[in-house]
Amino acid sequence: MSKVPDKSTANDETLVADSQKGDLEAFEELVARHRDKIYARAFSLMRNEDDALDLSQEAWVKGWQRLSQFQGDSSFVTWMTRIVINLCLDELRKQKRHRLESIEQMEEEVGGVERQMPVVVVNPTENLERAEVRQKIDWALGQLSAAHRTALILHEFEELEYKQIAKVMGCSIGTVMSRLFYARRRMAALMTGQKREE
Amino acid sequence: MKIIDFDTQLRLQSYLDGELDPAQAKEMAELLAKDSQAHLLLQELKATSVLLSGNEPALRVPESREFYWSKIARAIAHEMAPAPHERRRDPISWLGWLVPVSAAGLVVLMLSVGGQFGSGPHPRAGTSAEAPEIDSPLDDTSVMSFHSATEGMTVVWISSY
Repeated sequence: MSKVPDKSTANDETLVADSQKGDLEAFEELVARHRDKIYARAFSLMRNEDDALDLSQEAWVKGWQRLSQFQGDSSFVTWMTRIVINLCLDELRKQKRHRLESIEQMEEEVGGVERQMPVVVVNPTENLERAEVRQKIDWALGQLSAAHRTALILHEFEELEYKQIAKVMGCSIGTVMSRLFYARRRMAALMTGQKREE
Repeated sequence: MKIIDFDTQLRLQSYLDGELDPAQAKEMAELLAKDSQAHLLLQELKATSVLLSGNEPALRVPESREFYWSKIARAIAHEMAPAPHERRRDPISWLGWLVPVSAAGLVVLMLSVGGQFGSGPHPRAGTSAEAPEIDSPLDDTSVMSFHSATEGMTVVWISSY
C-alpha cells in the first residue's frame, strides 16, 4: 500500500504543483505556512484587524482561483503578497471614494512640512530591544497616511523599485518619490520623538 | 545654512535607492562631497531605510489555523460549486420526461377505449330526455406525474374514485 505523503514536510514548490492539480490539502498547508506573512502585510496597509483578516482570506481564495497563472517567476509567498497588496489598495481606494474630501490631495499639501524639517539622526536601537523597536516602528507606521505608508512598505519591506510601486499604486514615479520622501522623513521624526510642525 | 531645493532632495533619495543613472549618480556624489546639508539628509534617509528593512513588525493571525482556513475553504467550495443554471445536464436527460408523459397518455388511452367498449345503456340514461347524462370514466380519474432529473426518478400517480 502506498504511503500518503505528509504535506507538512513537502516544500512549497511541491505543494503549489499539487494545489494546481486541485489538491486542497496541499493548498491548506500553504495557507498554514504563509498566513502570518499575508495577514501582516494586509494589516500593515489597512491598520485594522478585521479588514486585514477579511482581505488576507480573500487573497487566499483569489490565489486558489489563479493558481494556474502562477508560473514560478517569483516565490509563491511573494506572488501571494502581491495579490493581498492589490486587494488592500483596491479597498483603500474604495474607502477613499466614500470620503467627502480628497485625502490624497491633503497629504500632498501637508507634505511640504517634511521638506523643511531639520535633519535628525535615527538611532532608536540604542536603548531598545528589537521587539520594542518593531513595536515603535509599527506605531510610527500607523501615524502615516495610507498613501505614504503604502509607498514606504512597498519600497522598504517588499523591495520594489519606483516604477513597480508606481504601477501597483496607479500613480506617477514622481508621486512615488515624493510620497516615499515624506514618509521617510516623517518616520525619522516619529522614531526620534520629534514633534511634527503642523 | 543653505536649504537644498526639493528636486535635489528627491534626487538624493533616488541616489540612495540606486535609481539614478551613472551620470546622475556621479553628479550627486560630487554634491555630497561638498554639501554637508545634503550629506546629513542622505544619512537620515539611509538610517531610516536601514532601520525599517531589518525590523518589519512581526504579526500573527489572531485566529486558529482551523478557524482561519474554514472561511477560506467555504469560499473556495462556494466558488467551485456550479450555479444551478450551469449544472451540466445529461445529454439524454430530456428522455426522462417521456416516461411520465407516455404513462399518462397510456392511461388516458386505456380509459378512453374502455369507455367506448362499455358504452351500453347506462342505468341512469334516459332519466331526462332533454339533457341525457353522459357518464365518462375520465371524470372520476386523475393522473399526476412527477419527474426528478437529479434523482433520476419518475412517479406516476393514478387516482380513481
